[in-house]
Amino acid sequence: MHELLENFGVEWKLLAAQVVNFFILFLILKKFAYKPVVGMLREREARIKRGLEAASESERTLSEAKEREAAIMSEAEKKALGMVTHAETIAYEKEAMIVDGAHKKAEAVMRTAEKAIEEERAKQIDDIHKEAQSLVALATAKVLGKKEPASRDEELVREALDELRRLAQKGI
Amino acid sequence: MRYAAGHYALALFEALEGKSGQARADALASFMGILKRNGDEDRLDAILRHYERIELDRRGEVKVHVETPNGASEAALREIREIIPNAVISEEANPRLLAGMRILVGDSVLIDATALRKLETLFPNTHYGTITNH
Repeated sequence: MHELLENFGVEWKLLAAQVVNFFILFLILKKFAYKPVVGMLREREARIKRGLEAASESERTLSEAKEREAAIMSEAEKKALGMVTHAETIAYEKEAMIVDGAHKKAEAVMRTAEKAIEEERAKQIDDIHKEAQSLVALATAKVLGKKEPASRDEELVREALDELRRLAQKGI
Repeated sequence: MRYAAGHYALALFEALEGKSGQARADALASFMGILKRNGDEDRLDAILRHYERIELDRRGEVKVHVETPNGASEAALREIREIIPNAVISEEANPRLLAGMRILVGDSVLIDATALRKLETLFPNTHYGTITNH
């Protein structure tokens, strides 16, 4: 063994000293370097893990919030649609009522107007009949050689003279 | 026609103004010669109507023609003279009118308050023939 080591150029004292140095260095590094670094790494790993978990949680929360929002919007849309439909229905019913009311009013006005026209027409026909009767009586009297009703002749002469007076005042 | 009836009438009026007797007759004959030469003899009626108007205008008078079925009453004629003091009234009896009075003032103003007009208004498509007394 001793010869083997000498053939390879290894001095066992130096080697032993180096091994001891190595162990001393190992222990120093383990206490003052390895542990803190590993601790730091582990802490970092734990932080990252926590961060990932928090992100995942946030994503989950966001997703839930979006779902809730979608549900609320859908509900609101349904409500709004319902309200609009209801309002439209009421509007159509009101429109029908108003149109119906207007029709009835127009019909009533038409009936009143028709009645007034009919009454006026009847009055005019009555006036024409009376006028015609008087004139026919006049003409008949003339044809039969009788004296025309004097009052009618006087009325007409009066009418002519009154018109002449009116025009003279206007300056004919 | 060379001249309007109104122009002939004015010329005639000025030709006769201030003339009398033979001079007037000569002027008239001359005028008739002109009418014949111009071929306007058939317009004599219109010319005379214009002449009458010119004469009345110059005298400040108004021609009023009154038509009634049996002749106008004195009271009506008096009232017309009262309304138009410078009226020159001519009368005509027209039995067709049946009743009332028709007054023509000058050539343009017609007042027709007669039974005939009222019948024509009531029955516009009816023809009214001459109605005569039996």
